[in-house]
Amino acid sequence: MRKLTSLYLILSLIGILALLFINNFNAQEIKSIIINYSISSISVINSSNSTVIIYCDSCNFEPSIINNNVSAIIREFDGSLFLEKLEVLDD
Amino acid sequence: MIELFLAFFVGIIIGIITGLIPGLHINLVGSIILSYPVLSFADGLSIAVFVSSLSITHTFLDLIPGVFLGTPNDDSGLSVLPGHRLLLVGRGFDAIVHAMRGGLIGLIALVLLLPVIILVMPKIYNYLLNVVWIILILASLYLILSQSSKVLALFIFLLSGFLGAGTLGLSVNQSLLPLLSGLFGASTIIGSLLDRSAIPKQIASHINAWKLGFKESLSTFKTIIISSPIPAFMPGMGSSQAVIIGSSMIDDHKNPKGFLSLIGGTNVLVMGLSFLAVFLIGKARTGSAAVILEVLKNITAYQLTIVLISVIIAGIISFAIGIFIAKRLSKIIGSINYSYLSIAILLIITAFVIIFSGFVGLLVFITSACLGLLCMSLDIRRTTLMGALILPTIWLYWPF
Repeated sequence: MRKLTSLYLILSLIGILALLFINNFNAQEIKSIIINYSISSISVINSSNSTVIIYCDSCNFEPSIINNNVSAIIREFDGSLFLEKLEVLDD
Repeated sequence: MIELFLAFFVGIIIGIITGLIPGLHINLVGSIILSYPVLSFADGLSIAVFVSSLSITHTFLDLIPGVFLGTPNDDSGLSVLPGHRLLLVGRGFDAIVHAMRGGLIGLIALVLLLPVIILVMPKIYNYLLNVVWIILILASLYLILSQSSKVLALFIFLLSGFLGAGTLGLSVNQSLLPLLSGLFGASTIIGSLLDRSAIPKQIASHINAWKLGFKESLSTFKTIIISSPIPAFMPGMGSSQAVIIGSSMIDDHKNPKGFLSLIGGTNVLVMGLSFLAVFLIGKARTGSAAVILEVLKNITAYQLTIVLISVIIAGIISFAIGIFIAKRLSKIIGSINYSYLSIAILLIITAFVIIFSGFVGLLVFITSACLGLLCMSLDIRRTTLMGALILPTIWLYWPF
């Protein structure tokens, strides 16, 4: 019984640490994107699933995609928008 | 008018199906409705009626897999605990009756609270946003200090909080699915498998589901009208937080039937109030309310009245259907090989987790299941695991 309890504890701790690490990694990645690219405006195109297009006029992308949009997943929390994921649209 | 009736009954039929599917949350159904133009041919009010009848039916019906199969979603998560205990002594049907009676009391509370909430909530909403963290800290302190092993309870509560913080910030779809299925569903099933539990033949219950006991009803009513309105209106909160606040008034160990009634009542009341929140403060607090806000934009008093009438009638119909299904299931559940059933359910939940939340979701699921088993192994009350939602919510509202 004690062995099983220890096993549960160790697995829980490893899992929690791994999740916190993944979480922190994501947060840093998003932060660096926000710092690098100034976002001129946010236009909600589909508020139902919180997908927005961010018009980015100073993005340091390759020339071929310099004028393209950036897709972002945001979370709406009581009127404020929180950035969750950013990616360059392919088209 | 015919379109409204059609939307209402189709909502009930789909709510029965989604409610009985283990682990499927109503928000997932809501996001499917929003993401795909499945209802583009219908007008806004018909969709709102469809969604409200579907949501309430789902809320009643998902208590059945929660108790019989041990597969919760966030609304019915805690019902697994006393529900499973009653199932293992042949009283699974009684557990569902008490939970569903709570749902009926939730409907009554919704009607009675309506004028008070309409008058008061818009005036105190901003003030409540500032004090909600105090309410949650007090409920958490009660949860921990009411247990015999306070240090271990605090340890489990904090571990759950870290797990919740690690999970809720991830870019994972339906992150509550792996979290709560692991904490309450998989751990219960694995624990029962390790103990070689078997579902006994269920006792033929002669309980009259419609006969609400006055004392039990009053106790549930008083608790839910205190615990539910604030979480129903606050962002980042919902039924789970309301139940934790309510559990300081109704203990799941000392009064399992009352606790099940509390869960049923809270789920229904929070869902009903979330529709009211769309009207009063223009905010969606549940996935279903988000669909209604999306299709109706500025909901009028007439539209709100139609939605609330749908909620109440759908609730009464769902109660009758739920009792009918639960009665039939209780007759056959004891003759099913529990080990095979448990393994099959574990595989179904795991498949759901991978499909909806991916492999990071699987990591959340396994970690949550281990933490749930640790809690059981240390003999700590499993409501303590709700720290996974409570601590991140406290953090969200922390003013300093």
